[in-house]
Amino acid sequence: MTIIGAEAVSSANRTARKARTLEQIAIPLLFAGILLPMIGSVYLALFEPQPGADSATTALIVLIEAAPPLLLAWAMLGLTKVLVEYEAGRYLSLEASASLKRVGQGGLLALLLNVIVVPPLVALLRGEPVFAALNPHIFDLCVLIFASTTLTVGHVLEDAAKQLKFENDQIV
Amino acid sequence: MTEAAMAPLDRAQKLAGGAAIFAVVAGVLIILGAAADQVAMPAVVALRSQEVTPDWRGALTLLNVVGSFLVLALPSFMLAGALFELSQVLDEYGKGQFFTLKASVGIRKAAESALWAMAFKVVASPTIYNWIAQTDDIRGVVWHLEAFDLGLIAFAAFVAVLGRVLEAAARIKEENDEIV
Repeated sequence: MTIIGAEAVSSANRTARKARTLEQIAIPLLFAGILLPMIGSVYLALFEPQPGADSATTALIVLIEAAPPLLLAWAMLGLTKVLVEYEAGRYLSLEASASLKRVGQGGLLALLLNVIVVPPLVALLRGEPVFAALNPHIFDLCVLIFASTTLTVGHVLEDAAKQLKFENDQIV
Repeated sequence: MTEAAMAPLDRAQKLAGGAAIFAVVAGVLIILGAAADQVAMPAVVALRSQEVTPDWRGALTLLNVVGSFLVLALPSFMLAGALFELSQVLDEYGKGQFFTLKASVGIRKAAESALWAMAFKVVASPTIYNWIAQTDDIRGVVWHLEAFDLGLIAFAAFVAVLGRVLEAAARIKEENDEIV
């Protein structure tokens, strides 16, 4: 490899390292951004409830509504593995592609929960019509399609990585 | 190469080809759906309560109403744009070109479009709508940030970062290919 090529490799690895450092700072902040308001809302629901409100039900609703963002944040933890692989220069490794696919799956599951499962459940707990709550906003559908397409990218890269591994094994 | 080895790659290419078409169709449907559901229908309802006269004043009223709803629909249009970018990435994968600059740049651009869409959904669209629709002089910044939006922003940001890393790596591969 030429000196220019080696510099480019180290630049790509540096980008991956920076991204991993950023991720390690951002994910705890993301969890904090979701958990801290949730704890505050649960506290208010249990100890300073609105007049006439059922404190246990309100607290349960807060917990249910926090489940999809928490699942999304948890799915993002899988990105560390992807970035570790990239940092080592293994851009099309089986582990990186499989982790990317898992992140996509977690994200899609969180979106489905947020759009399809949580609104009827919350409506049921509030004693409101369940099917009326199932009225996804067009933006939610857009995000759902975006996440499923990202998941397809992960799937395709995983298959390509499997192919590459097989070819390498054949050569060895 | 044996048939066993060809199977995952064939499957990947077919999946990518199918998903590329799906992404384009979904993008077009999103644009049509958002135009009808978020712009045309609310604008018609709003215009029923306002008089649209066949003069400059009427034209400005129409522009104001349609424009304000268009601003609210912008995030959906941006995500449709992200889907078109992703369809190009998947099209590359469908041709068996998994590690090209075009595909990696496409991933980065799609994620950046999603980030812009989130920025518009959370702050820009509500603020601009508020400025257009409000008649008094109070024009502050309006935020609509939910916990799930925070997760989506992080998700899109990291896909963008991954795209950037893949882009850097694809550049190296191109350089190496040129040297060879």
